[in-house]
Amino acid sequence: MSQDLPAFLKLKVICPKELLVDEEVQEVSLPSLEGYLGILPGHRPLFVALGLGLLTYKRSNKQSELPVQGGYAEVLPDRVLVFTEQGKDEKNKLSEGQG
Amino acid sequence: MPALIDLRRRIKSVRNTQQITQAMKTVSTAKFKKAQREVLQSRPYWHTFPDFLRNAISTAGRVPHPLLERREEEKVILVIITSDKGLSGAFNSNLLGAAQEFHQEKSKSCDLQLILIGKKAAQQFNKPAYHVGRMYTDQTHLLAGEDLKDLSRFLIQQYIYCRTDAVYVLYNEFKSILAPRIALIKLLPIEMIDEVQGLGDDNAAVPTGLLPDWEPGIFPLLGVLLPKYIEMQFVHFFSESIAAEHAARMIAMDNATKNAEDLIEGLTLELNKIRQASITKELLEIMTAVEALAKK
Repeated sequence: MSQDLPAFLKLKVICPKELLVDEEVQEVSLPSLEGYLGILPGHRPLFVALGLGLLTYKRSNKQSELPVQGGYAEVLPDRVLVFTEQGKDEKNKLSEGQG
Repeated sequence: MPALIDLRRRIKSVRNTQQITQAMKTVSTAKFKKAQREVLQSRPYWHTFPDFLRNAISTAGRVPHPLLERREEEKVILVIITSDKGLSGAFNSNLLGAAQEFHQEKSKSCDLQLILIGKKAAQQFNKPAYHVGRMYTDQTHLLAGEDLKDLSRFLIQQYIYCRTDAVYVLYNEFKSILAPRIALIKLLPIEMIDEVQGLGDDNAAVPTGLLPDWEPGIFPLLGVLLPKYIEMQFVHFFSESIAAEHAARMIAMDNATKNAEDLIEGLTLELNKIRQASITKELLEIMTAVEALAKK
């Protein structure tokens, strides 16, 4: 492809209760129905249904993960939009445990 | 001139009422804060999901899905979302007025079926003159996920089996604390494809120039996404309506408390005037008596 590849992916993970993630990341891995799907900036457009699994994303060598229970994602060369069903993410559970 | 005791009684009763409205205001403020937080937190979802679906449909081109099919409006369903309880100002009456208007207009041309949510809607429309399909009157706020899902599934079925040609929803949208906005939304058929097809009928109208991939396939994915969208819209309307209800009640009770305060002020002034007048009168009588005695 002659087009310049974007440097980042804008990742948004939204569940009915709240906005879980809104960050610029370098790499995303989605749990699709047929297995994990690695996504880098410049990926071709894709609509995908998600199954059960861990959504992982990498941002400046820091890897974070998020459990996902079903949902849908829209992948464009410069952004990834994820709609998921689950209520709370790992971070919330952790902070609740600490608090 | 009213007796002092009557005025005192009135002041006392107004004060009691004021205490009640004050308490109700406090309660609905707390409930409103909670509902508002929920609405605001879930807004990103409500706002981006339709865009997402629009993108999906636009790149899919013409998809023959029953929920996208448009028909002549002969049988129409109207869903009215009100609250169970009153004392919330014009919250319900405005909405019911709008519903009445819609009914008058639509029932001329087509068979209109009503689905009522909330006691207030039931009181107004559960009469022989109206064709009521379903009614939910028990504690609307307990009408949690399952019931709403059930209702949206019912509507989807009705639409797919051609028992209805369009579904409208009338509800109070939580716009600001001061005034809810009455919203009339056409839920079915899903019409967002129209604006998209305006671009041209060829499927190549993708902004990036690349046709997206679908996993697993366009049809299985849209087959899940479209009903999901309807379901999601319902939850959305419902939580907006609840937030708007609490906001309306909060404002109504605040006004009532202020009115009671004004009333108490006016009554106290009158009471004091009468008291003063009677004291003056008594003094005068004593003075006259003293003077009359002195003259003897």
